[in-house]
Amino acid sequence: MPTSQASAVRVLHVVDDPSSSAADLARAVAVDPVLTAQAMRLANSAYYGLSRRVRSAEFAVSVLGFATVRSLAASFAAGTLHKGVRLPEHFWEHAAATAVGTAFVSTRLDVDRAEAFSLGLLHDLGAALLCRHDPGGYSFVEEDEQHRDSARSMLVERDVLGIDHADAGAAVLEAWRFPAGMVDAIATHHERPSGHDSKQQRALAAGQALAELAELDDHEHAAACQLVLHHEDALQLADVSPAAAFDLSRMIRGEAHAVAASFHVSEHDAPEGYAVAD
Amino acid sequence: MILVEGWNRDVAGAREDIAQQEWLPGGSAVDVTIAPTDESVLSTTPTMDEVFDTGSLGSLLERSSWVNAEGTAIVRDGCIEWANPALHAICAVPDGTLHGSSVEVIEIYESTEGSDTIGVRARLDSSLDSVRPRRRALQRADGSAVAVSVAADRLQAVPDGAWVLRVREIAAHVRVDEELRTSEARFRALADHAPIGVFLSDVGIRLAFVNARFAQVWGRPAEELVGDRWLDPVLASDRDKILRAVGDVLCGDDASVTINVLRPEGDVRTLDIRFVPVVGVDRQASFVGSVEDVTDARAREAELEWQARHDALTGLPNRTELWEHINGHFARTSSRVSLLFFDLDDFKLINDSLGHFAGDILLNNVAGRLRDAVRAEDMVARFGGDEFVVFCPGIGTELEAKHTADRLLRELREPIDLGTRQVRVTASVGVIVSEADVHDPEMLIRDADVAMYQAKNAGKARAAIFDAEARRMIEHRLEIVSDLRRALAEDDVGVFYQPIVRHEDLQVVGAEALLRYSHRELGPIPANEVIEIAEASGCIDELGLYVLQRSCADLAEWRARTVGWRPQYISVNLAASQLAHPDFADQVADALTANGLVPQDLCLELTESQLMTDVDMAADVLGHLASTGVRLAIDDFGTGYSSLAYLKRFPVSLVKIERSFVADPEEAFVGAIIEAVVAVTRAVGGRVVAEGVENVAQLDTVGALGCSLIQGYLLGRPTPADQLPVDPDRRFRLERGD
Repeated sequence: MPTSQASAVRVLHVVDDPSSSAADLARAVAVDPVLTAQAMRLANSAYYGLSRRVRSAEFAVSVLGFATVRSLAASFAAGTLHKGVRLPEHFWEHAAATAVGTAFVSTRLDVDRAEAFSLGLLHDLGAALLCRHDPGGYSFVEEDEQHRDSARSMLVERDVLGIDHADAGAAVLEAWRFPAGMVDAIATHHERPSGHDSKQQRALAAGQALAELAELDDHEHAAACQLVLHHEDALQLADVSPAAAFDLSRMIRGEAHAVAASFHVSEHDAPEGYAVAD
Repeated sequence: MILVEGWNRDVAGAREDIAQQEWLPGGSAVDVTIAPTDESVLSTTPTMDEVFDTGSLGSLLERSSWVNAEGTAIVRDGCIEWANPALHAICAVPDGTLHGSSVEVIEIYESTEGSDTIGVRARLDSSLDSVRPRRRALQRADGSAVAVSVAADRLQAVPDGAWVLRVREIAAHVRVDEELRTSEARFRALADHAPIGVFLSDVGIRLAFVNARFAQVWGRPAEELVGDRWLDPVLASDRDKILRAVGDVLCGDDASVTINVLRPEGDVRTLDIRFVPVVGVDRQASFVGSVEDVTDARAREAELEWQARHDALTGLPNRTELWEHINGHFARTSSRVSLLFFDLDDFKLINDSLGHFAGDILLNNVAGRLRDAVRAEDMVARFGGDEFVVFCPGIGTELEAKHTADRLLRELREPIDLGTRQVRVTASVGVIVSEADVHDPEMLIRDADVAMYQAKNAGKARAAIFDAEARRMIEHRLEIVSDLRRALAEDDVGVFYQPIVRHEDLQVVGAEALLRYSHRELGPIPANEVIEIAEASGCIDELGLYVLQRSCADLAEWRARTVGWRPQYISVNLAASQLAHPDFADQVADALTANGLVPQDLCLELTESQLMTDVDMAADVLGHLASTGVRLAIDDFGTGYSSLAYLKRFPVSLVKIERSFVADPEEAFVGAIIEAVVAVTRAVGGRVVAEGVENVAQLDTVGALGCSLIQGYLLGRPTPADQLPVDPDRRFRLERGD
């Protein structure tokens, strides 16, 4: 783990303190330039529509909300924000699309939007951790052609790595005292949806389905239809009709791109005065 | 640390870090993993034997306060070996009855889920060290189901794999959620049906909710407006304003903005949006707001604004608009400008004879002609009833300005069709070109007005360039009028008297009251000038009444004295407008009775031209007065038309021959004229007065020609009432040498 984890822990601490203000959180964030830069980039992304008007850490924190800042801090602590870190293929594209998708369905499920966004952003955090700590093993899992089949990929992960990425992510987030509802939903995000699922579980399941749809190209009609059928339960539990799923996925695509772009940082993107920490 | 294997070392490391930060109380929170990590529990676990005895581990757990907060069980081989009272309570079974039963009692399987579902049992059989909390349904003894969260951790200290299971009831939370949902549904209904557009923000500039009215104002379904799509129909020029307002509101300030939105029908609506900052549960900056369609209100305001600045009849700019237009011009540049002041000639006559409707048509027509004839940068304004002002910012010389005025006058000369008849209208135009350093619209308009009066006086239907001398005259007049009003109010106007003497015996029979007014600063002003100014400024009636009352009072005072003048009557000059005053007869009667006089004591003098202005009315009023006994005199006879018909028409008792005849009565025909006037006057029962008699020769001649009454310096100059000689008759006789 990078040594700068202490600053992430401080951020998590401030988020958990109900008396903290946006200014308090901004101060905690500002300790780390990578985290600050990421918060500013995300708040200035087209997703929030503020057209690069966010110029202070405090404004960024206000716009993002505590939940999103906490999820950035968790990503940061897990090392996923650092330049040159090895991540699963299309990690941020998928995280961003799922975040946007989950946020889209959050309203109808009465889930706080920022919480929903964070759920999507963090749902595969475990995969990033596994990938970092057992790159060889993780490559083997990724190469498994069947990895689109949830149940099977989880079993493969457990066989090869000793734990699946859902449990791994949930364990970390639980240790960092993320709300139980979020931890539960991430722990079960490869389980088959059921009528007993909590609203967070439903939101994330639908968000993942929409994200997968959004990741397809427009002309892949057959694949899209198959996906919708495959995720019929998840979509139905979130009250999303197949037609709405196609519409939503198109909207998600552009916004997910904006969010993902804010996570793809090169040295040139670093704001002036900030060195990108390694 | 017990459960660390492989990658888990990092997680545990993170936990250690966190614990070192001393903000995560190790193991005391309900959701945090299980007993084996709890040092206090482990330290009181002395031997492996005791640990194998799950009963004693159970009793150990019972002593830990946190254990009792949620259902806890020790499970081995899918069998519940021990469960705490809380778990029994969740399952609604008596204490101890769960011991020995299958772990599956806490999960209801759905047959449809089949082999995909990894249930509690399957998970406990796997090689994992812990199972994250899952939502499950639990079948209670009474058959009802309860939603629970189930988590498990392997007891590392026990070699053959016992688990500690934690079960938390979540139904209570669900119920709270239900209540929240109900209350939210009520507020949502309220917001949905509010007559004003309202919205709630989501994140950043995005909207999470818009109500029906908002959607109506935007002209699109609500679903198409949530997210950032509400910005799409906003006109591009207004988007930055919204961004700025949202930036402000997200920083915690109220904000409001007026924007224009293009609706699908193609119309643009003007909207007022107010934003109020709200800090969410997540301390995320967000906002609520309202939107109001102000298109119609703005249009009404603009219309009212237009009406306030334009004339309703002609649609031309009014005085206010003209004023600001000129001021605006001078604010930009100091170049010379011209101003033409049009006043229609005899418009009152058209209005009175053809009616106001015809007058309006005419005004509209004139307005249209002027507007069509001027250049684009010129402004035609309706200044008053029949007054128009043309402001020409591009014309800087008098020659050009005069040329323009003449051109516009030619345009007006064409006949105007009023439906029943055609009329030709002319105007008098005052022209002014601004001085290089004069930028005052008030001064320009005043000067143009003065020039217009010059054009009127010069015979109407023409343009006159402003003459500074004329302005000085006007200013002089204004000065006199204002002091004259003061003098009238302060009883500071003098009345002098000149005797009227009987020729045969030089006895004083009457006295003519003559106005003497002296301006405070300018000194004495000739009476004819005072009267002219009084007539022009509208205070002639007041002045005339003043003289009438003063004369009557003075006559009464003389009568009261034992010595001095005893004229039979007092002669007072009338202005035509006095005669037209509806109360004139009453004023005369009041002045007489107030001083104890009879009508025969008063003689009213009028000139021929005054009689001519409204012959019928004059005949009525004068006839009435004469019937009461008031004497009437025609003044300055011989200067006007000298129509002898007046002598027949009016009950005249005196005819005063104009002084030019008297000045040289020896001249050819003058004697004959005087004789003729005397003859006619006698024929209608009147007498002739010779005015301006200055020497004895004149006195003898006019006397020989038959003038029975004489007035002039020879017999007495105009004198203040209190300086009249005690016995004037004697003096006249002495002077004449009798």
